[in-house]
Amino acid sequence: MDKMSEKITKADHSYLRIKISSQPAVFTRFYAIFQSGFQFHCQVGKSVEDLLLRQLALNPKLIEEKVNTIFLDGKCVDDISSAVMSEGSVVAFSSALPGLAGATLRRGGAYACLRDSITHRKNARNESQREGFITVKLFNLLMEELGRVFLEKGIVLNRSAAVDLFKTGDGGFWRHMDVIEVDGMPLSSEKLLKEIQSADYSRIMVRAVANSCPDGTNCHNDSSAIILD
Amino acid sequence: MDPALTSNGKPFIIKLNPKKSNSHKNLISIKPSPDQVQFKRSILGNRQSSKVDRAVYAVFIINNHHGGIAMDKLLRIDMGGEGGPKVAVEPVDGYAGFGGRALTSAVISKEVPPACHPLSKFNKLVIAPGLLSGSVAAMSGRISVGCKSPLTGGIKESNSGGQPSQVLARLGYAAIILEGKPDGKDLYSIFIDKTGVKVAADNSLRMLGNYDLIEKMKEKYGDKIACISIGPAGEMLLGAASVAFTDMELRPARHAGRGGPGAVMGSKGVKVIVLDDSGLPMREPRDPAKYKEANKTFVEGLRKHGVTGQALPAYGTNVLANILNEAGAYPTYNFKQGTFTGVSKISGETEAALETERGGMATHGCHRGCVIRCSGVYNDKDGHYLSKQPEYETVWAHGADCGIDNMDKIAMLDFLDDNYGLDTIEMGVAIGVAMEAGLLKFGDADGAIDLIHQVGKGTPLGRIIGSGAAVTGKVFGVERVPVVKGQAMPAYDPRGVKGLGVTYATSPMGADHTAGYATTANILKVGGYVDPLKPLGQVELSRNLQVATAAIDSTGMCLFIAFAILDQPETFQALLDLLNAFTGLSFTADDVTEYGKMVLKMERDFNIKAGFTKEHDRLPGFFKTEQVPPHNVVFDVKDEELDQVFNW
Repeated sequence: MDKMSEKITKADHSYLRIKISSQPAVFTRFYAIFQSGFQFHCQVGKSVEDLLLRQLALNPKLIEEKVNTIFLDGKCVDDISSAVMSEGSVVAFSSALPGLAGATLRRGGAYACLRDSITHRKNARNESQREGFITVKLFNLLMEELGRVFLEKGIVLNRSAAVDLFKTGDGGFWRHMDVIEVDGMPLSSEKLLKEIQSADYSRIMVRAVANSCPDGTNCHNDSSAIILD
Repeated sequence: MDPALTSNGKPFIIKLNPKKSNSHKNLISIKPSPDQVQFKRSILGNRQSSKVDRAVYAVFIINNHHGGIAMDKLLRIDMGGEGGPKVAVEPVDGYAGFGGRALTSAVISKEVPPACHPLSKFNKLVIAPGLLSGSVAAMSGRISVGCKSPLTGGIKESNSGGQPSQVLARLGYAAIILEGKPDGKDLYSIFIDKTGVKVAADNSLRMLGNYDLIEKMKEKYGDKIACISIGPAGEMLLGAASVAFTDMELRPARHAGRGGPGAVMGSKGVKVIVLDDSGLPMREPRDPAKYKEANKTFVEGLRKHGVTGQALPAYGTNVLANILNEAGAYPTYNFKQGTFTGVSKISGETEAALETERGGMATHGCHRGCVIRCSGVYNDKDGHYLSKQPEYETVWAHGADCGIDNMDKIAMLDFLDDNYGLDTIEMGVAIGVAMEAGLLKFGDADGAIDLIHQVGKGTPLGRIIGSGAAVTGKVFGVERVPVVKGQAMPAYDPRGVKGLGVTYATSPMGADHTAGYATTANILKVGGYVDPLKPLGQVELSRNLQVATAAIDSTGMCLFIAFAILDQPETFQALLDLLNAFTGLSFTADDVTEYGKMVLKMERDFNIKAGFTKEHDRLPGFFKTEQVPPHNVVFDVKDEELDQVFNW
């Protein structure tokens, strides 16, 4: 079973922390990880709406217009306020999808009855609210729209995924990286991979901050961001 | 040409069973001739005595005498004519107003004996552009191919993109109808331009793959042509044989794949039809100013919508892979489970990234006038062309359904299907069934490639696989064979998305994901409002969606406009305005609905006469008993509910 799918029984803050400051082009390297899933440290026992609106501080208009398809633990979500995440939940986000299948799976879509048996129903029991981890998947145009947001907050990978990410980076990938810090200390790109492979952690948190937005503006002044820890 | 049509240039409507209030404009005093009424009744049936039929069978007679080209001719080629093929060009007459799927289904239901053998001289192959094809309307380049299907034994309309639709329409032909059957074994090519039609035997084309064939046609006729062809699979009369259509770059990469139309073309001895519209203008609308305005609004609507303006151009149809997998409805290992661990390696997002990295194209239109541009070009790791961007259905069929997660191998399989002239869905599912039978291991990509080569060469095993999933399952004694009416199921597990299962079961076409694919903003209000949260809504929705799709298939429009016209009322209105400005009529949503119902009724009636009963409108038994992980659900829509889909 994919380690990303395993449930984590308690919040564990023991991980190597890597922060990179780079050009936006670097973020496309994360697209494969976005699709297969990454862990995200957040408040569990809360709704998907809480995650998007409060914890990620996303613009409500963006949620309404762009976050068109949502799955929670494999079930299609129509009402984000009643879809409550547990420790280890898998949450997938996508923008609008083509065809009848896309329309059928759409959040609050007119064809919801066509997939009635896989529609998420309100949680029967109350989940305790605390810090924990969920697995997040991003698809379609949301890899770019939401990927940056999650990267700025920090995504958590297992060691092998982190090794793959930095090992397969080509010259362009490293050239676009301006600053690398590991546990708060600057490190060169040559030593980063060795540090990941030798460190005594099974999980790695990666935070990536863009030096400029894709449109060339300065993204650091986004005051809607919330830092969790 | 009937004087009633030409006397004053105005369109008129024939009401065969007027029980509804008059919602049609432009009804004038000129009555149709008795012959016209009789002809229409022979297609649609005499409804005046029907007590349960409440529908108005309205046929819109479109006056095609525009300022430019009129699509008012039928090109009949009798391949079994005495002394050789006989060409006849005749007016559309009673078929006027039918286009695309409406025309192919009208001809087949009227002229083909439902009980005939699909490969006999009695079957016909009808190739028809849509009503708007050949004009500057965006997205209007689809073409329909109709016949009695060698795969299902029922009526078939198979749809394709590519250039030929627009070229054929500008040549003035509402349809090409291949009839009869040659006595000898000669293979023919057909050339059509503004000067006429030439049919010639050319056995040097025998068993050429579609790509080599088109290269030969380019050498002979230049590169301003558009081609319709079959590969070796069609020549061998295989049940999964497709008809290929060239794209803007003259690659035979677009296919009318479903249901074996390539075998019917092969049975007529026709290898290739070459079209050349040099020197001919675009088809002109009745009201150019309104048409231009409507087209502008329509294009704006498509471009601003998230699906048609962003997701499809960026990632193509394969953008569905990740989310269907997340839904647990991504059929894997021959429909054994609903998720595939390798999905992210073969998703649309990954495919687009590979294409861009290798100098291919992640966005590309299959015909001129396409603004969605959901296709692309897939290069190999050395940057050389490998295939057009494999679509969602192809990637799934050769990918997850067979346990293959290598995008390069899947692209190679796609190329081979295109070259040999095969339906990618039928081939993928047939190979999945063969894997279930133990012929290959799931995941054996090279073994799958070898099987396709065997199909192309016509080995005994190849002929079995090339005859489709149902035959493959029968020969190897496999129970889990995902077919309806003999046609392989596409890439959505009906146990997870049951409403799609309703369409798979009941569509006259067999298991078909495009049959109930489109909708209009008003469709839910026609015949009463459907509460989407009620389980019974699935039957009503499937019905309405099939009706709307039948109508849109007749216009030549690409079904991918559906999301934009669903979400944006102004874009839907722009589509109606386009139709009305082109034809001079005043179509409403109700009219579009009646048109779609008419088409479906013709198709259902043909199938009934061909021997189909309600027992054929069912999914294979294992879908009702075998739970599909991860949701562990079955298809539990009752048979009685399925029988209600066409109860209007």
